[in-house]
Amino acid sequence: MSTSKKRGQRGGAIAEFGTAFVVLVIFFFVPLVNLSFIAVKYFIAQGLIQEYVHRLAETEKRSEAYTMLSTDDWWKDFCDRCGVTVSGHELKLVVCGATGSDKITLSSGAPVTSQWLPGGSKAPCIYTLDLVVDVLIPPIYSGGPAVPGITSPLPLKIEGHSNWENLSRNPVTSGYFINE
Amino acid sequence: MIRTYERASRANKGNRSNKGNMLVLSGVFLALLAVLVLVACSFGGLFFVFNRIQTTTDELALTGARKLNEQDRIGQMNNMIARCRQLVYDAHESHTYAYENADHLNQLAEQLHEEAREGAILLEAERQKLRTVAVNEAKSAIADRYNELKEAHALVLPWLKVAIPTTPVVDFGCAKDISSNVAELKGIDELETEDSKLYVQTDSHLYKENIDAKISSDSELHFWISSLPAPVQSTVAPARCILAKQYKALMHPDLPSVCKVEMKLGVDTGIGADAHQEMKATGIAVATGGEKVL
Repeated sequence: MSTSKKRGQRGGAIAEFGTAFVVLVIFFFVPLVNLSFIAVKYFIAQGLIQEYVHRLAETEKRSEAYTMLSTDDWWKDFCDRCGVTVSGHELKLVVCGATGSDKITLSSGAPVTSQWLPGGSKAPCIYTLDLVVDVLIPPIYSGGPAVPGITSPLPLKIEGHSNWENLSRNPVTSGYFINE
Repeated sequence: MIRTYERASRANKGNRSNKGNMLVLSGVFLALLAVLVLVACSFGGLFFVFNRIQTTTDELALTGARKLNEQDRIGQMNNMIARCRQLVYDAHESHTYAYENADHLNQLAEQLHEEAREGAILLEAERQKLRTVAVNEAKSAIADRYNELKEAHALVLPWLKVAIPTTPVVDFGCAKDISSNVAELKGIDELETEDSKLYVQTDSHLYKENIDAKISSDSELHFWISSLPAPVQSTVAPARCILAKQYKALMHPDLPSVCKVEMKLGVDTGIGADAHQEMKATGIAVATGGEKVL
């Protein structure tokens, strides 16, 4: 009898604290850590894609850029190592006319028509390569119900842009390299 | 009831209250989280810094490349060399013909041949001077631009320290698969035949890049024709950046048409792993192409 009376309730606070602590960690800190690292991974992937599209824009011909994109895998591997999975990508050429409001978007194989080429009626134009990459960024801790970014990979689109460099003509075909 | 328990508990223990424990722990967790994020940010920021140094290096390379062929000096030199070569060949042929068939013209033909040869020697000396001038001016333009841009890189953040980039290392070369700007010369059938076998590209009818287009009848003279983007239908190729794999070092005393700039940048990640990294960026740019010969 006397033992039960003497038994303090100091442990009760620990039990309450423990529960609250678990709730705090699971529902607040883990999602916070996950979201923070998703942002960091995003910025790393963004930097890498920007660097890569710059390399694509430095190729001799536009077809070479598409070939390089389909055969080069180092950037995907690098993304993988940074915890970012590349699930798809699309490379487009965006041509903006002198007025700024004129704009066309061309995908692989579509030639730039004469009015948009240097010296054409829409000139001077700005030629930009746009690389849109679909990525999946998984959180550090996953599991439980699938909440993108918290417990399951977050699907995102990352874009990189770089001005097309080679605006000269091919001496063999006389055509612009941007159309080859 | 609770107050009584607390008072009793405090009296029994003589200790501080457990109130505020959660606040302290949350604070510790948040601080830890902040440190983790900053460490991660410092590594994420490296890509941002690298893109900046790459942009600067590209700009410096373009500055140098534009300077190399300023006012089409390399293009004009290539064209002059090709025409001088044609003149020497023609003078030699005339001299041979006069020697064999027209004795009264032999002295004049010999004199013209000698003048053409002297002209070729002088032109070669000028070409070498031009090489020195173009390279020095390009280096100087790069140094000036570097001095304008370098301060913009220094960055001190608690988690990232970026130094001023090192002085750029500049090199000059040529680009793979870019022929010379000189179109195949017409008018002397024998020379045309000889050139089409040795020196002229069959598809573009341009002289090959970085060749010493010696004349078979006079092997003492050198006619170095350099690589430079050719004009096509009055379109002059603008200076542009190229991939590193397209760069080729000069093996002979050719005139350069590509400028390569390498720069290093010291980066320290201040929090967490106190790592010092040295980033290296390489920018390569090809000079403005040759202009159309009138």
